[in-house]
Amino acid sequence: MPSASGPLVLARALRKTFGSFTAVDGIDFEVRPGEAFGFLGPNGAGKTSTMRMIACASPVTSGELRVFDRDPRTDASAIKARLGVVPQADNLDAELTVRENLLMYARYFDIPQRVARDRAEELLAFVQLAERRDSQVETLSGGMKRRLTIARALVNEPELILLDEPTTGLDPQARHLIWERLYRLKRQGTTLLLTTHYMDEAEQLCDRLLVMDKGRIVAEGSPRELIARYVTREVLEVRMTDEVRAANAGRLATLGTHLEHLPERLQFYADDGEQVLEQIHQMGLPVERALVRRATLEDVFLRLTGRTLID
Amino acid sequence: MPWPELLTMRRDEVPSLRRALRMVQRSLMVYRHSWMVIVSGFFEPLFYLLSVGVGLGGMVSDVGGISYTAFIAPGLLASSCMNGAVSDGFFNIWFKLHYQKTYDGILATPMRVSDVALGELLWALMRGSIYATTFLVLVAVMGEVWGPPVLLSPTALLAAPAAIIVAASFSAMALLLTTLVSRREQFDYVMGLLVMPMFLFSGIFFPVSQMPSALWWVFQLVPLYHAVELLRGLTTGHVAPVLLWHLTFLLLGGAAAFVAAMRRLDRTLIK
Amino acid sequence: MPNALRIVQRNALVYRRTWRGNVLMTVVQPVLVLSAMGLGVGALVDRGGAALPGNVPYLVFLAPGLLAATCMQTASFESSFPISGKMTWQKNYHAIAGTPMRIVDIVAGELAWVALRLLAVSVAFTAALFAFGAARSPLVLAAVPAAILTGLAFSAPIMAFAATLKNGGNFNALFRFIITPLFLFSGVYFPVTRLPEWLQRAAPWTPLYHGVELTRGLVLHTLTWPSAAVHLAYLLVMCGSGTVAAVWTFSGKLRA
Repeated sequence: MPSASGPLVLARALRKTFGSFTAVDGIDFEVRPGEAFGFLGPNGAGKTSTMRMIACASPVTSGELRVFDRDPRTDASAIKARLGVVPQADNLDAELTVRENLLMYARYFDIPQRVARDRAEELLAFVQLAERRDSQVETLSGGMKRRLTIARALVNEPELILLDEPTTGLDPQARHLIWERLYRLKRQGTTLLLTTHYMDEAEQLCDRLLVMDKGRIVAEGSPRELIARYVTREVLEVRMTDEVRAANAGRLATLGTHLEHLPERLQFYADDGEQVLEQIHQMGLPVERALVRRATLEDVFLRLTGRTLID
Repeated sequence: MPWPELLTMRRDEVPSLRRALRMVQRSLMVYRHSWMVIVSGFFEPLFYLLSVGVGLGGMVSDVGGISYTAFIAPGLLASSCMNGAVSDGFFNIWFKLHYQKTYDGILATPMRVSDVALGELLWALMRGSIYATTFLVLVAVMGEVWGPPVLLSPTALLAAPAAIIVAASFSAMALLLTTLVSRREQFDYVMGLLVMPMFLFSGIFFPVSQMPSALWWVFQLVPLYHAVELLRGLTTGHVAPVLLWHLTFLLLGGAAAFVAAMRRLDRTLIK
Repeated sequence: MPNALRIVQRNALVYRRTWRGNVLMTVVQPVLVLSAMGLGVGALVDRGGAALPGNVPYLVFLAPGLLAATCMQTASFESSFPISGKMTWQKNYHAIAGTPMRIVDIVAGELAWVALRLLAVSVAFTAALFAFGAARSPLVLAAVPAAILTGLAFSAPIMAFAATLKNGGNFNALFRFIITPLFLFSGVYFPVTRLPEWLQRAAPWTPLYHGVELTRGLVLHTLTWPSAAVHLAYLLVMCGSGTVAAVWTFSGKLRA
C-alpha cells in the first residue's frame, strides 16, 4: 500500500508511440491525493494517450508509470478496481437501461447486488437522472449520457477519477451542471485527473495543470501561477484592417510587453490594457473594435506554443 | 502463430471464471428485454425439419438406409449451432466491439480481455445447450408421434453433450472471425464465401459422398462437416472410431480459435 | 418521377462503396444453392422417382421457385434494416423531406432501387439456370419480371412496416416467423400438393405461393391464363396496397 502522502500516479520519462508516431514523448509528473490535476492542451497533444496508459487501457511504450504504487503492466485489475474512468467518447452499454448500466458495472467490481442497488439509486440522484432510470441509453441527450458515464465511474467509490474531456461537445448548461457535480466530488476529497482543451474548464476545476503540446510538457503550475509566470495581468484585443496592421507593424510592436498577431485580431499583453489602447488612439490609427480583458490560460498556451488551443 | 503457442495460454492470460460469469450475467440482463430473439432462434431448424418431414422427405428415398428426415435432422442441429454462433457471436459481438464500444467500458473495471472473451463464450455455450437439448427432445417426440423416427439409437443421448461441444467450438471460431473483420462490408464475404457454402455442402442435405472424392481432404478442414458427421453418427447409432476424429477436430479447433481470438481481441482493445 | 430517381441515385452512390461483396453474393448464391439443392438433393429426389409437374428433373422444378423465393428474401432484407436505419437512426429521410422531394417520391425511389437490385439478382439467377442446363427455352426470360414482381410485393408492405420501427428487433420476428416459413412451405422445394390438407388450403392465401406458381408456370409452360391472372392480381394488389401503406407510415414519421 502506498503511504498516505505518496503520489497516486507517478510518471518518469513516460513514452507512448504508435508505429512511427510519438503520442507521448517522455513526460514526468505526479498526481497527489486530494488534488484536482489537469492536462491542458490542444487535440493531439498526447493527453488522451496519457490517460489511457494510466487507465491500463494502453500499454506503456517505455519509461516508468506507477498508479497507486503498482505497475499497470502486471497489476491492471488491482489498479482498475480503485479507478473511476470517464472516457472521451461515451461507451455506455447501449443494450442496457440507465439503472442497469450502473448495476452491471458494480458487478464487474464484485460489489454485492444489495450494495449495488443502493449505490445506483444514490448515484442516479447525484447526477440527476433518477427519473430516467428505466430509459434505454440511446434515448438520453449528450449531457445526460455524460452524467451517466460519470455516475458509472463513481460506482466503485474510486480514489482517483480520470476524466478525458468531460464536457467537450456539451451545451453550456450541461457543462455547468457537470462542473458543479465534479466540484462537489473534489470537496469530498476525491482526487480528479482530467484533460481538457477548454481553459475555462481548467480554471474552474484544476488546482494544478500540466500544459501539453506535441507529446511534451511545456509548463506546469496552478492556473494563477501560469498566468503570472507567462503572461501579463491584462490583454487588449484590437481589430483593425489588414492595411493598417501592415503599414504600422513596427510601431505597434513597441506597445505593451508583448504582441501576438492572430488572423483576425491583435493581442497586446500589458498590465494596463486601457493605457495601450490610449497609445494606439494617440497614434491616430483607426480601430474597428477594442476589448480589454483579464489574461487567461488560453493566452498562456498561445505564448508558450504560438498556437491557439482550439483550432 | 505456431500451433503449440496457440494451444497454451500464458499465465496472465488465464481467464477467471468468476469474472467471466459477470459477462453471462450481463447477457441475461440484456436478453430480459428481448427474450423473443432467443426463443425465435430455436424455431428455424424446427421449420426446416418440418418442411422436410411433410414435403421433401416423401420425395426422397432412404439415404444410406435411413429416412431422409432422420438423415437431415442431426445436420440441422449442427447448422443451428453454427447459425447461433454466427448471429450472436459474430454480428452481435462485432457491433459491441467496433460500434457500441461496450467492451472498452467494461475493461475500465477489474475485468480483463480474457474474462470478457470467456464470458461471451460461456453465454454462447448456454444458449447452444438450451437449443440443442430442446431440439433433440422435440425431434424425439415428433418422431414418436408422427413418424418416421428421427433418433434411431440410444447413442442419441450423447448427441446433446456433443451438440454443446459443437456450439462451443463454433462460438470460439465465430469470435475469432469477429476479430478478423474490421469493416461492415466484409460481412457479405463471410456469409457468401464461408457460412453459406458450409451450410449447403457439409452433408446436411445430401451425403458428401455424392461429391468428387478429391474433395475429401477439403472436407477434413470444414468444421460444419465434422459437426454434422459427429451428430449424425450419434443420432443414427453409426458409432465408429472416426467420430473421435471429428470430436478431436472440433475440440482442438475450438480451443485454438479461442486462444487466437483472445490475443487478437487484446490487440484490438488494449492499444 | 424524376424526383424518385434522386433516391435511386443516392442509393447508388452509397452502393459504390459496398458493391463488391454484394455482387459477389448475387452471383455466387444462385450457383451454390442450385448445385447443392438442385444437383445434390436433386440426385436423391430423382432417384426416388416422385412425380413432379411437367415430369421434369428436380433441378428444373426447383430453379424457378428458388428464383422467386430469392427475390422475396432480397427484397425483404433491402426493405427492412436499410429503410428503418434511414428513418430512425440516421434520419436521412428527415433531411431529404426538407428538400423539394415529396414523400411519394421517397417511397417510389426506394421501390425503384429495390427493383433494380431484384433485376440484378434475377438476371444472375437466370444466367445460372442456363449454365446448369435447367433453362428449357428462352421463355425462361419471362421469369425475370415475374420474380421482380414477387419481390416488390414483399418490398412495399415491409417498407411500410420498417418506417414505424424503433429498433431492429422486430425484423428478427418478421424473418423467422414469416419469411422463413413462407420460404419453406410455399412450394419452392416440393409441390404444395404434398402438404397436409389444411396447409394446402392455406397456401393460396399466402404471397410467395403466387410468386412461385407464376414464375414456375412461365418457365415450365404449365401456366393457364386464369391462374396467371389470379397470381398477377394477388401480387399487384400487394404492391399497390403496400405502397399506399408505406406513403402513409412515412408521412406519419416525417410530418410528425
